[in-house]
Amino acid sequence: MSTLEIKDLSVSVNDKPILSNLSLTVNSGEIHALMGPNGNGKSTLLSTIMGDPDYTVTHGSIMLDGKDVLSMSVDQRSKAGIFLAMQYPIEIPGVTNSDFLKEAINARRESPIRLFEFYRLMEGAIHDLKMKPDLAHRFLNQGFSGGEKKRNEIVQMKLLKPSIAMLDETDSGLDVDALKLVADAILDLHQTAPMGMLVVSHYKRFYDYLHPSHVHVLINGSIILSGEKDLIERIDSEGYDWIYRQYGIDPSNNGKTSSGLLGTCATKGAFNGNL
Amino acid sequence: MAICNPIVISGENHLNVVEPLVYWQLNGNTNLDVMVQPNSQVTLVLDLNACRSVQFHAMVQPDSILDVALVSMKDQSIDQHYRITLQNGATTNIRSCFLGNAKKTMKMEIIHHGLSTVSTMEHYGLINTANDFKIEAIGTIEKEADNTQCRQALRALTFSDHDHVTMVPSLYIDNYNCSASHSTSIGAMSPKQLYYLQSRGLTMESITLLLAKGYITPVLELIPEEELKTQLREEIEKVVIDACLTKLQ
Repeated sequence: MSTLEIKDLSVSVNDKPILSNLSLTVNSGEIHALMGPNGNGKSTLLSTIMGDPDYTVTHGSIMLDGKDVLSMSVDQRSKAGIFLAMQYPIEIPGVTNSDFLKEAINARRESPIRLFEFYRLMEGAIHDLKMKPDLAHRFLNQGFSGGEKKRNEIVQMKLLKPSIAMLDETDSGLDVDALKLVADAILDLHQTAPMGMLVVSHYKRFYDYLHPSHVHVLINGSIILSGEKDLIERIDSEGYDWIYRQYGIDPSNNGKTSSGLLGTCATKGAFNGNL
Repeated sequence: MAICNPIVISGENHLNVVEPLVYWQLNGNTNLDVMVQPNSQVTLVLDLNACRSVQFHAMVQPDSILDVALVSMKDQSIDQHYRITLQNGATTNIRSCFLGNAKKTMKMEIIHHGLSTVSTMEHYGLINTANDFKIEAIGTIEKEADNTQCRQALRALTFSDHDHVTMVPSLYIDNYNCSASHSTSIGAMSPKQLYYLQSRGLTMESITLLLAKGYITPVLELIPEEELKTQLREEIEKVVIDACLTKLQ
């Protein structure tokens, strides 16, 4: 059982504030959908949790099972159980997938994994994600299509078995078959070893597969609205304008009035314009 | 057949190579004339760590194969000239790994003289100083060399904007019934690449080791003897990690 607890988090890039007093708690077994218009801080939140050096935390805390995440280096965060499937996985020429993954697995073990066991696990993950069998011997993400890169992120997630997994637009670049394949692999892992998940996507179809337990809308660096799955339905059909209107948000600046919490009924109320 | 202790060579040498695997440690200023017998296969592993200059001429006789693995990891300046001539049906595969921690220059020419000759040349450099590091790779396909294949690939990884490296692949072709290619890539590992690897739990040390493997493994793959391969891998990885770790941090 793991808990990621974010409190009053403010983050800036090159002195420009991106996140402002954001709070969120993710427990094992929960799947949190994070939605919001482009450029409002969703990826910043995930990257900050992972420890991307481009982002500066100016206020607040991130704790994983009571331990201060912000004081950890990036590799320590990973070994503590945090995983980020990146929006744009990086190409590393000269480093093969198998060498990389073996090193990553060994980084969180006391004794090195046996080669036979490693290849059995890797081949299983490659098979599940329907990657080409030569994946192990190819350089990490080099020459991969967009979809292959995204699937390779999930191969890594399956092998590293994080306690908190963050997916940053993993569904973008995937065709409809690959999307289901990836979602099935994520759900399979989630059912075998329940993780806390924080999933960024713009699309209902991906969330339909994942069945998130919580839904949040992040605008202008703050979580404006939280609710359940029907919030995704409404955003999918109506966009974000109704949220701007109801919460008095000017999407062109950082001004906002208040944040709200919507359960299913409250969301239905919002549908009827009663908020 | 295991030959894990190097044969130390220096000065002038004219050698007819008949052993399938030879591990030479070159010292000081060395001139080597090598003749590979017809219908034979030979692998030369040249340890250049204690060598200041090398002049290497090889004649690969008909239907024979010469594989050469070159290793230069120490902070010893070195000037190298290689000239390998391929007769009818001959093949050569050259792979080198260099740590660019001193002034190192190499000029390597493979001459396709006979029919149906094949050459591959791969050079891998890890550059961690501002010293000059220069590799000139030349593939020459003579008029008589019909049905020839000639491949060159040069790669260098730098660790800072101040590192300096020159890699020049060249092809001189006088017979157009051939297949020839060359490629060069030089670049540093970006902060984003480091971040990506760290985000999977890798420390700077393990990242350095991974990078080193990527540059060393192709060279070691040429060596058919496991004991020597393991011995060299351990020696090289230790040197690379010690040399590169501070540059990455």
